[in-house]
Amino acid sequence: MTDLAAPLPGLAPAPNTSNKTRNGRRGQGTLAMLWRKANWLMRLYIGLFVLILLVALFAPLLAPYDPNAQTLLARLRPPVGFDRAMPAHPLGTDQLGRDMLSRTLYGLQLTMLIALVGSLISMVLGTALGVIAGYVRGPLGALIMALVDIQIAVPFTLIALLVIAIFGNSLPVLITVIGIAGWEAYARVVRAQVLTVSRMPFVEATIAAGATHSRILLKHILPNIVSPIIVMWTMTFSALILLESSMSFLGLGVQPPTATLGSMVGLGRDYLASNPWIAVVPSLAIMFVSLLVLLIGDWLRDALDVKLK
Amino acid sequence: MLDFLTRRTLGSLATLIVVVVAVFFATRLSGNAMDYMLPPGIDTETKAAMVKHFGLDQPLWLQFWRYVTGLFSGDVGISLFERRSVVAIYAERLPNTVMLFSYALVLSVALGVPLGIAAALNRRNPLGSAIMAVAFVGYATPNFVLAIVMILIFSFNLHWLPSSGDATPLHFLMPSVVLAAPMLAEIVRFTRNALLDVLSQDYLRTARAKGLPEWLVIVKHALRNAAIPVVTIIGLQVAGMVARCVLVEAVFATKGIGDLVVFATMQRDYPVLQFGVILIAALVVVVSLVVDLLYAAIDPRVKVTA
Repeated sequence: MTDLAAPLPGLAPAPNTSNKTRNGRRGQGTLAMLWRKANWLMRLYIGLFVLILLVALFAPLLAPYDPNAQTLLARLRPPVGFDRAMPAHPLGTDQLGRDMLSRTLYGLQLTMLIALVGSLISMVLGTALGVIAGYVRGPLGALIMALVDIQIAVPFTLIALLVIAIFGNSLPVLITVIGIAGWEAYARVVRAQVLTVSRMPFVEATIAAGATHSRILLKHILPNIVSPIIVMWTMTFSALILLESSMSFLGLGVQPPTATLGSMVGLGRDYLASNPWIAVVPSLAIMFVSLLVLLIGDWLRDALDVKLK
Repeated sequence: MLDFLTRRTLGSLATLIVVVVAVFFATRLSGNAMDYMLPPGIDTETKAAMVKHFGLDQPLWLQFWRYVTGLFSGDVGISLFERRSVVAIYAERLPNTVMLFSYALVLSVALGVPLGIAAALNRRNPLGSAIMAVAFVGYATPNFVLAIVMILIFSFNLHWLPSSGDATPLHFLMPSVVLAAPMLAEIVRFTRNALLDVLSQDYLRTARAKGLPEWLVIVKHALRNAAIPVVTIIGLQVAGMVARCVLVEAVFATKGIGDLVVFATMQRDYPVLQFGVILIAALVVVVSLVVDLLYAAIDPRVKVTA
């Protein structure tokens, strides 16, 4: 998971000179500022991403069929525009006559849900441990950083395989695996940020004024490390979509007949020679979502002027 | 310098010890492996015999001792599924993975560096933008999606390449390309940016002012200084590439250690899985250690920050 914090320098837009977000007011003001900063292309990306989120959210309403309903008389129909296509199934059907459009919508929903919950778990876990390591320090902090080093050193795929072999492959296990995938990146960045911020004069002033630890952390340190956390979150999010897809693709994630984008590609692989759309449709969906999140995350890093070092 | 060497080596050693211990206890967490292996309804006598055969009836500390001493003597048990020595299975599979890995490494460096240079020198015209756009897509495309697309095009439409297996060198072409893609993209990006950083330096103006031809300026003065960050990224990516082998081998049915590890996960073949995890982790840890040490030897500034 070392890739998570890696910058994507080649495509970085012009560096942003304003540093207001660091200490400026958050919430509405920051969002409006970000929107003003975005050029039309980035606004298009953001719009598309919001659209995808809405589609995933309302998948049950948008899907024309039950994703697991089989129509054996309409098996292996290609998408509209090819021979033998049926207008009732715009993206075709799979080997059991299940509607590809419905499955893709439900698959998108589940993939996004798993990545979302997983990335929130790793964010909360990583931030908490990073704050402890940076603020409390001592032997506990050293232990946390040792764990971070170990997780960086061992390829995460192996940890995931081991956990799945032990606990079986079910949705809760998959979400847990994905939740522990990105925490070490947060912990490292948050610790470094906390160390920097807690040495700043305004924190020293609050300590001198007699503020409690929780007040210092919540009111003074946390607001100043929100930007890097948000940027890390966008980056982990796309990595987690790929992790979920890879696991489900290998048959180690969500079990059939439940559809996620990855498991659909995995099942479609067997029909690649004769009925390629079964694998291609969800593949395109995965690629589209992960590209979009990467582009937005990359832009956000520059717009919020975050250095993830 | 010596201090850095010792600290870094001890750190790697500690990581390996944690991996070995964690793998052992993790695989025992889920209870008796025999529960999954044997068919339901088997009589208790046979089951007890199987448990005894695999040494699973001994106390945990004794099992751990046998496991650790086994690691050093090369006896890491027998596969529950294949009933053969785990080491023999890995020895059989390792050449394929090493081959795949080396092809991918050579491919990404041999293509990535020139493309990165081209992108830097053409940064203001469409060629440079096109290279960077392709690199970005290569970075963002999941391995298995790229694999599917390539199989569709080169195996099923053009009939040029075999879609799976490892019988001939030709079978390794697509897996190597898929494995190399993310690293290739990273190398292109880092080469471009490192070169752009260097191109604006004063000593390049000096080199041009004294009348050197442009290609000599690039090769002798710019590239040499741009090499350090590029070497770093290659070192960092090697670890990730070992991990990606797992997925790529599974997709293309290359009989290597990655494919073996995935299969062992599905079959809950713990002896195979635990040795695979330790072997791959050890490879990654050693490779990153070697890269770090080499890097510290090339660039003395490293030890200050490390």
